[in-house]
Amino acid sequence: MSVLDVKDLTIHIGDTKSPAHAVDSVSLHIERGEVVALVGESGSGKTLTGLAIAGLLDPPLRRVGGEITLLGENLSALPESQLRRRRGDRLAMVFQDPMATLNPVLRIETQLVETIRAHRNVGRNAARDEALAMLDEVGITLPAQRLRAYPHELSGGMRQRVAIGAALINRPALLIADEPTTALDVTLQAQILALIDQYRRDHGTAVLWITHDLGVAAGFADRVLVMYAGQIVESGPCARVLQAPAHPYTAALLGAIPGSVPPGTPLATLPGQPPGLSPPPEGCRFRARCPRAAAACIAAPPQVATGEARTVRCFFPLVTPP
Amino acid sequence: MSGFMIRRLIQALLVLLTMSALVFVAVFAIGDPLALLVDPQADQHDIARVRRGLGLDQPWWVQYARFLGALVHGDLGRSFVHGEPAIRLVLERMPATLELAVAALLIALLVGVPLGLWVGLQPRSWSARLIDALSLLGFSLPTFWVGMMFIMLFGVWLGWLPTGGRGETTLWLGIPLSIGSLDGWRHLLLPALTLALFKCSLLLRLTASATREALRQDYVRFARARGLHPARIVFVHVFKNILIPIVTVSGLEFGSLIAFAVVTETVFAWPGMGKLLIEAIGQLDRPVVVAYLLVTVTLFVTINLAVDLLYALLDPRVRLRSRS
Repeated sequence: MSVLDVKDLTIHIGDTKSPAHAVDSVSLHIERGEVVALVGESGSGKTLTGLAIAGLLDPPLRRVGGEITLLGENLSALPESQLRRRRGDRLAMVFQDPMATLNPVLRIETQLVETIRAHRNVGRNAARDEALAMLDEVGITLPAQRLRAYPHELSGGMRQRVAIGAALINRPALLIADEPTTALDVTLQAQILALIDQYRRDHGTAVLWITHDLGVAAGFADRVLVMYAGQIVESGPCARVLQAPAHPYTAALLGAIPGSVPPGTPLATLPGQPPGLSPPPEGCRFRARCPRAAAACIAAPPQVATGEARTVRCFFPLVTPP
Repeated sequence: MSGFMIRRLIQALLVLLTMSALVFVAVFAIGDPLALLVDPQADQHDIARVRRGLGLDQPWWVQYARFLGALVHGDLGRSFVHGEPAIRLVLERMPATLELAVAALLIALLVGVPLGLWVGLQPRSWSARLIDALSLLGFSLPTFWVGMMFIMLFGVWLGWLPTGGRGETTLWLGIPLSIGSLDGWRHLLLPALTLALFKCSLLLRLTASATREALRQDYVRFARARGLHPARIVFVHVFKNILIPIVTVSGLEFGSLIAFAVVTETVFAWPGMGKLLIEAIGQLDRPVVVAYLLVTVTLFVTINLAVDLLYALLDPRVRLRSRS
């Protein structure tokens, strides 16, 4: 049984007459101890997918279809009062900006202890001891001192460690990480990645890693899902996808990474912009920017398997099906 | 910390000095108090005697220098009209004004903040829209008009509440207060409501917008992602943050409540400092005007200092320290 199983998740933004189809029939699953990277550019719907799984969509965002199953339980059927008991307990989420994630007027201790006590009947002192142990586990030096500190007294990297500690303190089965390293410098990025990698090895936590950075996904994720204009266009084992992309969009993304071409050669750029999504274009959504587009692409391309547990949503994939 | 206090104290003294000089010159320029003080039948000789007696025969800078000299000894001069020490007249009236201002601030906070929180949390509900519209009304109606309407409605037509004076006062630590008796409460209610209406609307709108702002912050989303109870998110995570602007504005507005009490006190014949000031200005009773303003400025400075200290207490990011 997968830890997380998402089927045909569809999210609309705005009124019911002409909504933007921000996320369209996204399906994914994550196994115990597995890291899945959800990669895409801004506006591709990757963050909304993460928020929807955590049940954190607010109007004007609406989940209009799909089923989210966590540890065999259908989350999409639960009322908010029940969903709240799962959040921070069985599934946890950390966000991008460590400077804004923690409440500035509450001590670190308060924010950790309240997370424990929101889900488990633990005494104040026992919760405090747990919080202390957690800070130690996420690599905070002098944890007893930091526990009494306010967020502004910690550096950005330390704050992200604290936020991750607060998210993991009830030992969730699933961690949704929405670009938690984007706001940090490269050294800290590597440290945070190593921290989460070690944690999931120790605890078997499933991780959904949302990022726009293919480089981060490359060194860390087991599988990668590439999103474009609200759809997953390619999925497969990380190493295989990055080595030999099947979808023209993935190939274009890889071509735009500095270092992917010899020095002196200009980086490849994609002409045009992502399409508007209210309503989304007919057929393949990447059609207008795709170097391989042909007449057939006016119809919606099927999701085809290309072997090695890979799928691609394209009529003319770069990797031929077996 | 102590360096901070000392700097604030020096600032306050400079403000007081400048203000007293301005008022001294201004009242001097308005007119000659003797024209109002002395019997029109009095002869030139009598007038000159009174003028000398009050020290008004000297040029204004000499008068100001004398005033400052006396001030060092805690003497603010005697009222031209009453012959009593001006500062005593003002301080006698101060409890009435402070009582009115505190009552108005409490009403504004107890009504404005909860309603503002509701409007901020449920901006789409019809009740929030209604409250929001009413607060706009409360924001724009002039105080004196509201006071007169209250008197018409509750005093004259319905006859429920008295419309003037403080009613029966009781002594608390030697200070006469209206809130000690039912009769005093009945007298206090209308002027306090009148004075509170504007501040209540202000605090309501401030609380509502601060709440909306706080709800958009990442820390609220993260609190929800951790599965905290909605009540904890609102009353701890949001409220502790919006308390910072609420306390700041309340403190500053408390000073202006004391100042605006002048109008309300006049409308409701509330025997406070404001009413005394209006009378003193009418009679060009300079020592009383100066004493009133010195007391008011001192109150302002004290309140601002208290707000700064409270601010540092509420927001851990603010620490008051002196830089050398």
